[in-house]
Amino acid sequence: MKSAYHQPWVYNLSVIKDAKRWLKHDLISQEQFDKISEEYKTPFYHPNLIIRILLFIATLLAISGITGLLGLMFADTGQTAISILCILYGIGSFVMLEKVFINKNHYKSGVTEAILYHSIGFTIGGVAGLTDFNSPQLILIACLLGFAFAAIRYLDLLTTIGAVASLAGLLFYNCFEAGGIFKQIIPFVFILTFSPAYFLTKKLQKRGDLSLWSNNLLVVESLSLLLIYVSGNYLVVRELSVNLMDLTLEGSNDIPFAFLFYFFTVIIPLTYLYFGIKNKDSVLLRVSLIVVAISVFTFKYYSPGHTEITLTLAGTVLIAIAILLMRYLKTMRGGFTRENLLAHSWGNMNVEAILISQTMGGNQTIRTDQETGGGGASGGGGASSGF
Amino acid sequence: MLIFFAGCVAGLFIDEPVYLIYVLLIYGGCYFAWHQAKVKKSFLFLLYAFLVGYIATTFVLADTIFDAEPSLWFLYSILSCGGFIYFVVKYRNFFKQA
Repeated sequence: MKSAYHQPWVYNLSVIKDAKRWLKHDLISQEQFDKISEEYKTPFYHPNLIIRILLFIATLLAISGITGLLGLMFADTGQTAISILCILYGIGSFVMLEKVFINKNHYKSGVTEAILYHSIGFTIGGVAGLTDFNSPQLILIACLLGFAFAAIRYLDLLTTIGAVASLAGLLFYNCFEAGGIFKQIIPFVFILTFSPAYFLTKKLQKRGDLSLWSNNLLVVESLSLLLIYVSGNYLVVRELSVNLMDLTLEGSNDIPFAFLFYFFTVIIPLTYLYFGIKNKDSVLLRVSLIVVAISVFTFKYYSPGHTEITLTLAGTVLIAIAILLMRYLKTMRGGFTRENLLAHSWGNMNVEAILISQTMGGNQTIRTDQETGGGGASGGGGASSGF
Repeated sequence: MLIFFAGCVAGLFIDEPVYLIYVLLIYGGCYFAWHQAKVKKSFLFLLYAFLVGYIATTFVLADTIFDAEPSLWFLYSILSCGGFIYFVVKYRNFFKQA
Protein backbone atom coordinates (compact mmCIF):
# COMPACT_ATOMS: atom_id res chain seq x y z
CA MET A 1 0.00 0.00 0.00
CA LYS A 2 1.24 3.48 -0.85
CA SER A 3 1.29 6.39 1.54
CA ALA A 4 -1.10 9.27 0.88
CA TYR A 5 1.82 11.67 1.24
CA HIS A 6 4.41 12.44 -1.42
CA GLN A 7 7.50 10.55 -0.22
CA PRO A 8 10.25 13.02 -1.26
CA TRP A 9 8.43 15.86 0.48
CA VAL A 10 8.10 13.82 3.66
CA TYR A 11 11.82 13.11 3.42
CA ASN A 12 12.60 16.79 2.88
CA LEU A 13 10.50 17.73 5.89
CA SER A 14 12.36 15.23 8.07
CA VAL A 15 15.69 16.67 6.84
CA ILE A 16 14.58 20.19 7.76
CA LYS A 17 13.36 19.04 11.17
CA ASP A 18 16.67 17.31 11.88
CA ALA A 19 18.61 20.31 10.61
CA LYS A 20 16.66 22.45 13.09
CA ARG A 21 17.80 20.11 15.85
CA TRP A 22 21.38 20.37 14.62
CA LEU A 23 21.09 24.14 14.63
CA LYS A 24 19.77 24.05 18.18
CA HIS A 25 22.79 21.99 19.27
CA ASP A 26 25.18 24.30 17.38
CA LEU A 27 26.25 21.48 15.08
CA ILE A 28 25.54 23.72 12.09
CA SER A 29 25.41 27.48 11.58
CA GLN A 30 22.36 29.53 10.63
CA GLU A 31 23.81 29.90 7.14
CA GLN A 32 24.13 26.14 6.74
CA PHE A 33 20.59 25.70 8.01
CA ASP A 34 19.29 28.22 5.49
CA LYS A 35 21.05 26.34 2.70
CA ILE A 36 19.58 23.03 3.84
CA SER A 37 16.10 24.61 4.05
CA GLU A 38 16.57 25.97 0.53
CA GLU A 39 17.73 22.63 -0.88
CA TYR A 40 15.08 20.53 0.86
CA LYS A 41 12.03 22.69 0.24
CA THR A 42 8.69 21.11 0.98
CA PRO A 43 5.23 22.55 0.30
CA PHE A 44 3.70 20.71 3.28
CA TYR A 45 1.67 22.64 5.82
CA HIS A 46 3.00 21.25 9.10
CA PRO A 47 2.64 23.84 11.88
CA ASN A 48 4.15 23.71 15.36
CA LEU A 49 2.69 21.60 18.15
CA ILE A 50 0.50 24.27 19.78
CA ILE A 51 -1.13 25.25 16.50
CA ARG A 52 -1.62 21.58 15.68
CA ILE A 53 -3.39 20.99 19.00
CA LEU A 54 -5.61 24.03 18.42
CA LEU A 55 -6.41 22.94 14.88
CA PHE A 56 -7.11 19.41 16.11
CA ILE A 57 -9.61 20.64 18.73
CA ALA A 58 -11.22 23.11 16.33
CA THR A 59 -11.59 20.43 13.65
CA LEU A 60 -13.11 17.98 16.12
CA LEU A 61 -15.65 20.63 17.18
CA ALA A 62 -16.43 21.53 13.57
CA ILE A 63 -16.96 17.93 12.47
CA SER A 64 -18.98 17.21 15.59
CA GLY A 65 -21.28 20.00 14.39
CA ILE A 66 -21.60 18.34 10.98
CA THR A 67 -22.18 14.97 12.67
CA GLY A 68 -24.80 16.52 14.95
CA LEU A 69 -26.72 17.99 12.02
CA LEU A 70 -26.59 14.67 10.15
CA GLY A 71 -27.60 12.89 13.35
CA LEU A 72 -30.70 15.07 13.60
CA MET A 73 -31.61 14.20 10.00
CA PHE A 74 -31.19 10.43 10.31
CA ALA A 75 -32.00 9.88 13.98
CA ASP A 76 -35.21 7.94 13.27
CA THR A 77 -33.95 5.57 10.58
CA GLY A 78 -33.25 2.57 12.83
CA GLN A 79 -30.07 0.97 14.13
CA THR A 80 -29.07 -0.95 11.00
CA ALA A 81 -29.54 2.06 8.74
CA ILE A 82 -27.61 4.27 11.17
CA SER A 83 -24.77 1.72 11.29
CA ILE A 84 -24.55 1.60 7.50
CA LEU A 85 -24.71 5.41 7.34
CA CYS A 86 -21.90 5.57 9.93
CA ILE A 87 -19.70 3.36 7.74
CA LEU A 88 -20.50 5.47 4.67
CA TYR A 89 -19.88 8.67 6.64
CA GLY A 90 -16.54 7.27 7.85
CA ILE A 91 -15.47 6.31 4.33
CA GLY A 92 -16.68 9.69 3.04
CA SER A 93 -14.54 11.39 5.69
CA PHE A 94 -11.50 9.41 4.50
CA VAL A 95 -12.17 10.64 0.96
CA MET A 96 -12.61 14.22 2.19
CA LEU A 97 -9.35 13.94 4.14
CA GLU A 98 -7.44 12.96 1.02
CA LYS A 99 -9.15 15.14 -1.56
CA VAL A 100 -9.61 18.32 0.47
CA PHE A 101 -6.74 18.41 2.94
CA ILE A 102 -3.91 16.08 1.90
CA ASN A 103 -4.21 17.26 -1.72
CA LYS A 104 -3.75 20.80 -0.35
CA ASN A 105 -0.50 19.69 1.26
CA HIS A 106 -1.65 19.34 4.85
CA TYR A 107 0.80 17.00 6.57
CA LYS A 108 -0.06 16.06 10.14
CA SER A 109 -1.45 19.54 10.62
CA GLY A 110 -3.90 18.70 13.39
CA VAL A 111 -6.78 18.91 10.91
CA THR A 112 -5.67 15.68 9.21
CA GLU A 113 -5.39 13.77 12.50
CA ALA A 114 -8.81 14.93 13.70
CA ILE A 115 -10.52 13.88 10.45
CA LEU A 116 -8.56 10.62 10.38
CA TYR A 117 -9.61 9.58 13.90
CA HIS A 118 -13.15 10.72 13.16
CA SER A 119 -13.23 8.58 9.99
CA ILE A 120 -11.83 5.50 11.73
CA GLY A 121 -14.18 5.97 14.67
CA PHE A 122 -17.26 6.09 12.48
CA THR A 123 -16.17 3.20 10.25
CA ILE A 124 -15.38 0.92 13.20
CA GLY A 125 -18.42 2.15 15.14
CA GLY A 126 -20.61 1.39 12.12
CA VAL A 127 -19.25 -2.17 11.86
CA ALA A 128 -19.75 -2.63 15.60
CA GLY A 129 -23.31 -1.30 15.29
CA LEU A 130 -24.09 -3.80 12.53
CA THR A 131 -23.16 -6.62 14.91
CA ASP A 132 -25.23 -4.99 17.66
CA PHE A 133 -21.96 -4.66 19.62
CA ASN A 134 -22.13 -8.40 20.29
CA SER A 135 -19.22 -9.69 18.27
CA PRO A 136 -15.88 -8.70 19.83
CA GLN A 137 -14.08 -10.82 17.21
CA LEU A 138 -15.51 -8.82 14.29
CA ILE A 139 -15.04 -5.50 16.09
CA LEU A 140 -11.39 -6.34 16.81
CA ILE A 141 -10.84 -7.36 13.17
CA ALA A 142 -12.44 -4.08 12.04
CA CYS A 143 -10.18 -2.20 14.48
CA LEU A 144 -7.10 -4.05 13.23
CA LEU A 145 -7.90 -3.37 9.57
CA GLY A 146 -8.96 0.25 10.15
CA PHE A 147 -5.98 1.15 12.31
CA ALA A 148 -3.49 -0.70 10.09
CA PHE A 149 -4.87 1.07 7.00
CA ALA A 150 -4.60 4.48 8.69
CA ALA A 151 -1.12 3.73 10.03
CA ILE A 152 0.23 2.67 6.64
CA ARG A 153 -1.55 5.18 4.42
CA TYR A 154 -1.35 8.25 6.68
CA LEU A 155 1.85 7.39 8.63
CA ASP A 156 -0.03 7.92 11.87
CA LEU A 157 1.55 6.73 15.12
CA LEU A 158 -1.53 6.58 17.34
CA THR A 159 -3.28 4.30 14.89
CA THR A 160 -0.12 2.18 14.78
CA ILE A 161 -0.50 1.69 18.52
CA GLY A 162 -4.18 0.94 17.91
CA ALA A 163 -3.32 -1.68 15.28
CA VAL A 164 -0.83 -3.47 17.55
CA ALA A 165 -3.29 -3.30 20.46
CA SER A 166 -6.05 -4.71 18.23
CA LEU A 167 -3.80 -7.58 17.16
CA ALA A 168 -2.96 -8.31 20.79
CA GLY A 169 -6.64 -8.10 21.70
CA LEU A 170 -7.59 -10.43 18.87
CA LEU A 171 -4.98 -12.99 19.95
CA PHE A 172 -6.06 -12.78 23.57
CA TYR A 173 -9.75 -13.02 22.74
CA ASN A 174 -9.35 -16.04 20.47
CA CYS A 175 -7.18 -17.95 22.94
CA PHE A 176 -9.52 -17.03 25.78
CA GLU A 177 -12.60 -18.12 23.84
CA ALA A 178 -10.92 -21.37 22.73
CA GLY A 179 -10.69 -22.28 26.43
CA GLY A 180 -8.89 -25.27 27.96
CA ILE A 181 -5.18 -25.43 27.28
CA PHE A 182 -5.32 -22.31 25.04
CA LYS A 183 -6.37 -20.24 28.05
CA GLN A 184 -3.33 -21.47 29.96
CA ILE A 185 -0.85 -20.72 27.21
CA ILE A 186 -1.92 -17.14 26.42
CA PRO A 187 1.36 -15.66 27.80
CA PHE A 188 3.43 -18.05 25.67
CA VAL A 189 1.31 -17.33 22.57
CA PHE A 190 2.03 -13.62 23.07
CA ILE A 191 5.75 -14.20 23.56
CA LEU A 192 5.90 -16.46 20.51
CA THR A 193 3.96 -13.94 18.40
CA PHE A 194 5.64 -10.70 19.39
CA SER A 195 9.22 -12.00 19.50
CA PRO A 196 9.26 -12.72 15.73
CA ALA A 197 7.32 -9.45 15.24
CA TYR A 198 10.17 -7.60 16.98
CA PHE A 199 12.89 -9.20 14.84
CA LEU A 200 10.81 -8.72 11.69
CA THR A 201 10.40 -5.03 12.54
CA LYS A 202 14.15 -4.68 13.08
CA LYS A 203 14.71 -6.26 9.67
CA LEU A 204 12.13 -4.03 7.96
CA GLN A 205 13.71 -0.91 9.48
CA LYS A 206 16.85 -1.61 7.44
CA ARG A 207 14.94 -1.51 4.15
CA GLY A 208 15.39 1.81 2.39
CA ASP A 209 12.04 1.63 0.58
CA LEU A 210 10.26 1.51 3.94
CA SER A 211 12.03 4.54 5.41
CA LEU A 212 8.78 6.52 5.16
CA TRP A 213 7.33 4.23 7.83
CA SER A 214 10.40 4.27 10.09
CA ASN A 215 8.52 5.95 12.95
CA ASN A 216 5.66 3.47 12.69
CA LEU A 217 8.13 0.60 12.75
CA LEU A 218 9.78 2.15 15.78
CA VAL A 219 6.43 2.16 17.57
CA VAL A 220 5.78 -1.49 16.60
CA GLU A 221 9.27 -2.40 17.81
CA SER A 222 8.77 -0.72 21.20
CA LEU A 223 5.30 -2.17 21.65
CA SER A 224 6.50 -5.67 20.71
CA LEU A 225 9.18 -5.45 23.40
CA LEU A 226 6.67 -4.21 25.95
CA LEU A 227 4.15 -6.92 25.07
CA ILE A 228 6.80 -9.65 25.31
CA TYR A 229 7.66 -8.41 28.78
CA VAL A 230 4.07 -7.93 29.92
CA SER A 231 3.20 -11.47 28.74
CA GLY A 232 5.83 -12.88 31.07
CA ASN A 233 5.30 -10.50 33.97
CA TYR A 234 4.20 -12.32 37.13
CA LEU A 235 1.85 -9.56 38.31
CA VAL A 236 0.01 -9.36 34.97
CA VAL A 237 -0.31 -13.14 34.58
CA ARG A 238 -1.42 -13.67 38.17
CA GLU A 239 -4.00 -10.88 38.21
CA LEU A 240 -5.42 -11.86 34.81
CA SER A 241 -5.59 -15.51 35.91
CA VAL A 242 -7.49 -14.56 39.04
CA ASN A 243 -9.84 -12.05 37.40
CA LEU A 244 -10.55 -13.61 34.02
CA MET A 245 -10.04 -17.32 34.53
CA ASP A 246 -11.67 -17.64 37.94
CA LEU A 247 -8.49 -19.00 39.48
CA THR A 248 -8.75 -19.04 43.27
CA LEU A 249 -5.49 -18.70 45.16
CA GLU A 250 -5.54 -19.28 48.88
CA GLY A 251 -2.74 -19.42 51.41
CA SER A 252 0.55 -20.38 49.83
CA ASN A 253 -1.05 -21.35 46.51
CA ASP A 254 0.45 -19.85 43.40
CA ILE A 255 -0.38 -19.70 39.70
CA PRO A 256 0.75 -22.57 37.43
CA PHE A 257 4.37 -22.19 36.22
CA ALA A 258 4.88 -19.39 38.76
CA PHE A 259 8.64 -19.97 38.83
CA LEU A 260 8.74 -19.38 35.07
CA PHE A 261 7.00 -16.02 35.39
CA TYR A 262 9.27 -14.99 38.29
CA PHE A 263 12.16 -15.83 35.99
CA PHE A 264 10.72 -13.84 33.06
CA THR A 265 10.01 -10.85 35.32
CA VAL A 266 13.68 -10.70 36.27
CA ILE A 267 15.43 -11.89 33.15
CA ILE A 268 13.58 -9.95 30.42
CA PRO A 269 14.44 -6.45 31.73
CA LEU A 270 18.05 -7.50 32.27
CA THR A 271 18.23 -8.98 28.77
CA TYR A 272 16.82 -5.78 27.26
CA LEU A 273 19.28 -3.70 29.27
CA TYR A 274 22.24 -5.89 28.33
CA PHE A 275 21.50 -5.90 24.60
CA GLY A 276 20.53 -2.21 24.69
CA ILE A 277 23.97 -1.29 26.03
CA LYS A 278 25.84 -3.89 23.97
CA ASN A 279 24.23 -2.94 20.65
CA LYS A 280 23.80 0.78 21.53
CA ASP A 281 20.11 0.35 20.80
CA SER A 282 18.21 3.32 22.25
CA VAL A 283 14.80 1.65 21.88
CA LEU A 284 15.90 -1.40 23.86
CA LEU A 285 17.53 0.83 26.47
CA ARG A 286 14.45 2.99 26.96
CA VAL A 287 12.05 0.04 27.06
CA SER A 288 14.38 -1.77 29.48
CA LEU A 289 14.21 1.17 31.92
CA ILE A 290 10.41 1.10 31.83
CA VAL A 291 10.21 -2.66 32.36
CA VAL A 292 12.80 -2.58 35.15
CA ALA A 293 10.49 -0.16 36.95
CA ILE A 294 7.50 -2.49 36.37
CA SER A 295 9.53 -5.45 37.65
CA VAL A 296 10.44 -3.59 40.83
CA PHE A 297 6.79 -2.70 41.30
CA THR A 298 5.80 -6.35 40.74
CA PHE A 299 8.10 -7.65 43.47
CA LYS A 300 7.18 -4.81 45.79
CA TYR A 301 3.47 -5.53 45.22
CA TYR A 302 3.79 -9.06 46.60
CA SER A 303 6.17 -8.23 49.44
CA PRO A 304 4.51 -5.34 51.26
CA GLY A 305 6.50 -3.29 53.73
CA HIS A 306 7.05 0.37 54.34
CA THR A 307 6.23 1.68 50.88
CA GLU A 308 7.19 5.25 51.76
CA ILE A 309 10.68 4.15 52.85
CA THR A 310 11.13 1.96 49.77
CA LEU A 311 10.03 4.75 47.42
CA THR A 312 12.23 7.33 49.14
CA LEU A 313 15.25 5.03 49.01
CA ALA A 314 14.55 4.03 45.40
CA GLY A 315 14.16 7.69 44.40
CA THR A 316 17.41 8.63 46.17
CA VAL A 317 19.32 5.81 44.51
CA LEU A 318 17.91 6.67 41.07
CA ILE A 319 18.71 10.38 41.47
CA ALA A 320 22.26 9.48 42.53
CA ILE A 321 22.69 7.13 39.56
CA ALA A 322 21.25 9.76 37.20
CA ILE A 323 23.63 12.48 38.50
CA LEU A 324 26.64 10.16 38.32
CA LEU A 325 25.75 9.05 34.79
CA MET A 326 25.14 12.62 33.63
CA ARG A 327 28.59 13.59 34.90
CA TYR A 328 30.26 10.45 33.57
CA LEU A 329 28.71 10.84 30.11
CA LYS A 330 29.46 14.56 29.81
CA THR A 331 32.16 13.51 27.39
CA MET A 332 31.39 10.66 25.00
CA ARG A 333 32.43 7.27 26.40
CA GLY A 334 32.19 4.12 24.33
CA GLY A 335 29.70 5.76 21.95
CA PHE A 336 27.41 6.98 24.75
CA THR A 337 26.84 10.60 25.66
CA ARG A 338 24.23 12.50 27.67
CA GLU A 339 23.69 14.91 24.78
CA ASN A 340 20.71 14.36 22.51
CA LEU A 341 22.73 14.91 19.35
CA LEU A 342 20.88 13.30 16.51
CA ALA A 343 17.47 11.92 15.76
CA HIS A 344 16.96 8.21 15.29
CA SER A 345 16.55 8.35 11.53
CA TRP A 346 19.91 10.01 11.19
CA GLY A 347 21.66 7.62 13.51
CA ASN A 348 23.47 5.76 10.77
CA MET A 349 24.10 8.63 8.38
CA ASN A 350 27.38 10.34 7.78
CA VAL A 351 26.80 13.76 9.30
CA GLU A 352 30.02 15.19 7.94
CA ALA A 353 29.16 14.16 4.38
CA ILE A 354 25.74 15.79 4.58
CA LEU A 355 27.16 19.00 6.02
CA ILE A 356 29.82 19.19 3.32
CA SER A 357 27.33 18.47 0.55
CA GLN A 358 24.99 21.20 1.85
CA THR A 359 27.61 23.86 2.40
CA MET A 360 29.61 23.19 -0.77
CA GLY A 361 26.46 23.26 -2.91
CA GLY A 362 26.82 19.74 -4.25
CA ASN A 363 23.48 18.38 -3.18
CA GLN A 364 20.45 17.84 -5.36
CA THR A 365 16.91 17.57 -4.13
CA ILE A 366 15.41 14.16 -4.80
CA ARG A 367 13.05 14.27 -7.71
CA THR A 368 11.05 11.37 -8.95
CA ASP A 369 10.53 10.47 -12.58
CA GLN A 370 6.93 11.45 -12.16
CA GLU A 371 7.95 15.03 -11.36
CA THR A 372 10.64 15.44 -14.00
CA GLY A 373 9.07 13.45 -16.79
CA GLY A 374 11.76 10.79 -16.57
CA GLY A 375 14.15 12.27 -19.18
CA GLY A 376 15.36 10.62 -22.36
CA ALA A 377 17.11 7.32 -22.65
CA SER A 378 19.74 8.59 -25.10
CA GLY A 379 22.17 11.51 -25.00
CA GLY A 380 22.64 14.20 -27.63
CA GLY A 381 19.68 15.41 -29.60
CA GLY A 382 16.45 15.13 -27.72
CA ALA A 383 14.52 12.44 -25.92
CA SER A 384 14.30 8.88 -27.07
CA SER A 385 11.24 6.72 -27.32
CA GLY A 386 11.90 5.70 -23.77
CA PHE A 387 10.52 9.00 -22.48
CA MET B 1 -3.14 39.14 31.63
CA LEU B 2 -3.83 35.50 32.48
CA ILE B 3 -5.13 36.36 35.96
CA PHE B 4 -7.34 39.09 34.48
CA PHE B 5 -8.82 36.66 31.97
CA ALA B 6 -9.22 33.92 34.60
CA GLY B 7 -11.14 36.36 36.82
CA CYS B 8 -13.35 37.48 33.93
CA VAL B 9 -14.15 33.92 32.87
CA ALA B 10 -15.02 33.03 36.47
CA GLY B 11 -17.26 36.13 36.52
CA LEU B 12 -19.07 34.87 33.41
CA PHE B 13 -20.36 31.84 35.24
CA ILE B 14 -21.97 33.63 38.17
CA ASP B 15 -25.65 33.10 37.83
CA GLU B 16 -26.68 36.74 37.46
CA PRO B 17 -27.34 39.07 34.51
CA VAL B 18 -24.32 41.11 35.61
CA TYR B 19 -22.14 38.68 33.65
CA LEU B 20 -22.49 40.98 30.64
CA ILE B 21 -20.04 43.34 32.32
CA TYR B 22 -17.48 40.54 32.30
CA VAL B 23 -18.20 39.89 28.64
CA LEU B 24 -17.37 43.51 27.86
CA LEU B 25 -14.25 43.31 30.04
CA ILE B 26 -13.17 40.15 28.19
CA TYR B 27 -13.66 41.78 24.79
CA GLY B 28 -11.63 44.77 25.98
CA GLY B 29 -8.92 42.42 27.24
CA CYS B 30 -9.01 40.53 23.94
CA TYR B 31 -8.40 43.73 22.00
CA PHE B 32 -5.48 44.59 24.27
CA ALA B 33 -4.04 41.05 23.99
CA TRP B 34 -4.44 41.11 20.20
CA HIS B 35 -2.64 44.44 20.08
CA GLN B 36 0.16 43.14 22.32
CA ALA B 37 0.43 39.99 20.22
CA LYS B 38 1.00 42.11 17.12
CA VAL B 39 3.46 44.46 18.82
CA LYS B 40 5.48 41.80 20.63
CA LYS B 41 4.98 39.05 18.03
CA SER B 42 3.77 36.92 20.92
CA PHE B 43 1.70 33.89 20.07
CA LEU B 44 0.73 33.44 23.73
CA PHE B 45 -1.19 36.72 23.82
CA LEU B 46 -2.97 35.79 20.63
CA LEU B 47 -3.89 32.43 22.13
CA TYR B 48 -5.28 34.08 25.28
CA ALA B 49 -7.30 36.53 23.21
CA PHE B 50 -8.74 33.85 20.99
CA LEU B 51 -9.61 31.29 23.68
CA VAL B 52 -11.17 33.69 26.16
CA GLY B 53 -13.00 35.59 23.41
CA TYR B 54 -14.39 32.32 22.09
CA ILE B 55 -15.54 31.22 25.56
CA ALA B 56 -17.27 34.57 26.15
CA THR B 57 -18.98 34.62 22.75
CA THR B 58 -20.13 31.02 23.11
CA PHE B 59 -21.47 31.73 26.60
CA VAL B 60 -23.46 34.76 25.46
CA LEU B 61 -24.88 32.92 22.44
CA ALA B 62 -25.73 29.88 24.59
CA ASP B 63 -27.58 32.11 27.01
CA THR B 64 -29.54 33.96 24.35
CA ILE B 65 -29.97 32.44 20.89
CA PHE B 66 -29.16 28.75 21.45
CA ASP B 67 -31.69 28.51 24.28
CA ALA B 68 -34.39 29.21 21.73
CA GLU B 69 -33.06 27.04 18.90
CA PRO B 70 -30.66 24.25 20.05
CA SER B 71 -29.88 23.04 16.50
CA LEU B 72 -28.03 26.32 15.97
CA TRP B 73 -25.29 24.85 18.19
CA PHE B 74 -24.23 22.63 15.33
CA LEU B 75 -24.11 25.45 12.79
CA TYR B 76 -22.24 27.61 15.27
CA SER B 77 -19.60 24.94 15.93
CA ILE B 78 -19.17 24.31 12.19
CA LEU B 79 -18.87 27.99 11.29
CA SER B 80 -16.80 29.15 14.24
CA CYS B 81 -14.32 26.25 14.20
CA GLY B 82 -14.24 26.13 10.40
CA GLY B 83 -13.56 29.88 10.42
CA PHE B 84 -10.77 29.41 12.95
CA ILE B 85 -9.13 26.68 10.85
CA TYR B 86 -9.42 28.82 7.73
CA PHE B 87 -7.93 31.78 9.58
CA VAL B 88 -4.97 29.81 10.94
CA VAL B 89 -4.18 28.18 7.61
CA LYS B 90 -4.72 31.38 5.59
CA TYR B 91 -2.60 33.57 7.89
CA ARG B 92 0.08 30.96 8.52
CA ASN B 93 2.87 33.48 7.99
CA PHE B 94 1.71 35.50 10.98
CA PHE B 95 1.93 32.41 13.16
CA LYS B 96 5.34 31.53 11.77
CA GLN B 97 6.62 34.94 12.81
CA ALA B 98 4.97 34.73 16.20
